[in-house]
Amino acid sequence: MARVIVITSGKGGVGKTTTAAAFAAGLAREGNKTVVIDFDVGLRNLDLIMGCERRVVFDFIDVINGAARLNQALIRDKRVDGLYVLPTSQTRDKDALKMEGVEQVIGELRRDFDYIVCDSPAGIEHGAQAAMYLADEAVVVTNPEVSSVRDSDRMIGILTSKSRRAERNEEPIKQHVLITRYDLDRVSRGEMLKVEDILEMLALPLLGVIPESRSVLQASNTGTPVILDDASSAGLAYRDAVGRFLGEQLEYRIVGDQPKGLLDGLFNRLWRRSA
Amino acid sequence: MLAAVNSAGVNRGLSTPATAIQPAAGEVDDVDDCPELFQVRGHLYNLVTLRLIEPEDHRFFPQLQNAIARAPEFFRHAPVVLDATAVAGRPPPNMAEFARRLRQQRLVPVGVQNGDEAWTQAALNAGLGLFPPGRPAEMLRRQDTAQAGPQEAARPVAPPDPAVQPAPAGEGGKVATVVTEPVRAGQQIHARGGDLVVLAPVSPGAELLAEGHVHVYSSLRGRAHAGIGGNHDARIFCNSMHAQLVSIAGLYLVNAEIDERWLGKRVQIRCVDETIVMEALP
Repeated sequence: MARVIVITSGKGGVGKTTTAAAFAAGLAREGNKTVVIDFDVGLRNLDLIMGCERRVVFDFIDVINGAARLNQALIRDKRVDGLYVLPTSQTRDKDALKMEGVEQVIGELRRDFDYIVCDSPAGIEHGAQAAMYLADEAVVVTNPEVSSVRDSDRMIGILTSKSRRAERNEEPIKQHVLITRYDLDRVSRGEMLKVEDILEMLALPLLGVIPESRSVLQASNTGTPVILDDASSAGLAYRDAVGRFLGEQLEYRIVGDQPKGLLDGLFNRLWRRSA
Repeated sequence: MLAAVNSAGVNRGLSTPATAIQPAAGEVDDVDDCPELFQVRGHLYNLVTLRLIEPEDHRFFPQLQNAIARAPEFFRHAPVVLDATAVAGRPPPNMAEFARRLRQQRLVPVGVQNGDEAWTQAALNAGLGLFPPGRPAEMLRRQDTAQAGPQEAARPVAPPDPAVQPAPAGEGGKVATVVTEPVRAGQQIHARGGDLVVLAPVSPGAELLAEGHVHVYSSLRGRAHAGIGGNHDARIFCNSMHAQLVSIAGLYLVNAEIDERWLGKRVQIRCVDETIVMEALP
């Protein structure tokens, strides 16, 4: 049975799309047929981050409106087997997300896919609510600073009370925190919040800590999910996060921007596998 | 640009239209020049809601009278919102007469909520206001948890009763609402008629309300209002004091005014005369 995962945050610019792309690619690489959907109607970015912006013909809104079939809109990723992208419209806006249509599309995707990753827009209005309404799990992306934590907390409250699972009194959405843009130096200088402080405020299990890394910008410039970059500390952290999501017990490694050398990278990988 | 001159011969500047309207006899003409006579502010008020189920039944007002008699202090002169969720779709009663009969019971009807067009029109015709739509939270099946969504109130786990059943002023809450999940930013929990017990952290931006005491066996970072029915004996207890604001029976204290030595500590907060007193918990 497919699992619907929403990548959300409340605050804008914290790394939802980066995470959605990395997560979807990571899940697909582990052999799960995965689709990642862009819910940010009008300000779409997922197609850029996934590197398929030049192959978009039909989009999510077209499918909702019946102007195209789902398999006409889905774009196969060329690098990772089993990874698909459902881009959204750049010309419409979030009112085009009719819940009936969204439910129908997700229902259809549930039949063929193992994981459906929903890249939520920022905010708590209709777009973000549409993205989380049908979710089974949620990754709440948070930067280590107060306003992001505050907004994440608000979003967690909404996930707990306004999802379809909440309305039907079913088992609630399984929620996780993913800390992104974690800058070790700034944390030790007291400029950024520590992991423990964030978790104390949000009171959710920690999926991972993604370090601030230049490789993220490079990844979005080249349209490659950062998890596919073997030399990136952020990419490696995403791999750990995906591993934890799939049930592996992995130690949290908080690192700076680059692993110190090839040998360090090798050591890390060996150690990780034995966990 | 030419300056426009009104017919009284006074040059009022470039933006005056060419034909200014003369003030009528008796009208004040210096409204814009006099000092500020009022300010418009937004406030959050807690209002009793009367959820209508059978408003046309001849036993309605006698039954209401009995409910009021159980806690007369609470209901006297209380502003009341009429919730028409259960009766929308049925034609409304004569609202003016209905409101008059409520006033006979010393309730003050102030508005209608969740009605359909007919109800809305009847309310407006009777001089009542319209409250934004809302729906009551469903009680969760788990016995010991009551949880609210944003802007919604939780009901105590006691058997449902159409009228509000508050604890009389001065007594501790007879019915306690227990919350075991963290209370998030934007969520508001109102323990009607009794105490509120929270066993998880309360985030900044969350709000707790109780006619009785508020107990937070964790960190309190949001707002807590105890004794909201006017009970000056109500108290607030918490394991880690970081509240943005606390109030007892309407007397409030903001975080900036809280003595630093209490921040992060296990405290109880109570009202002595007209001051908020904070003490360490044993």
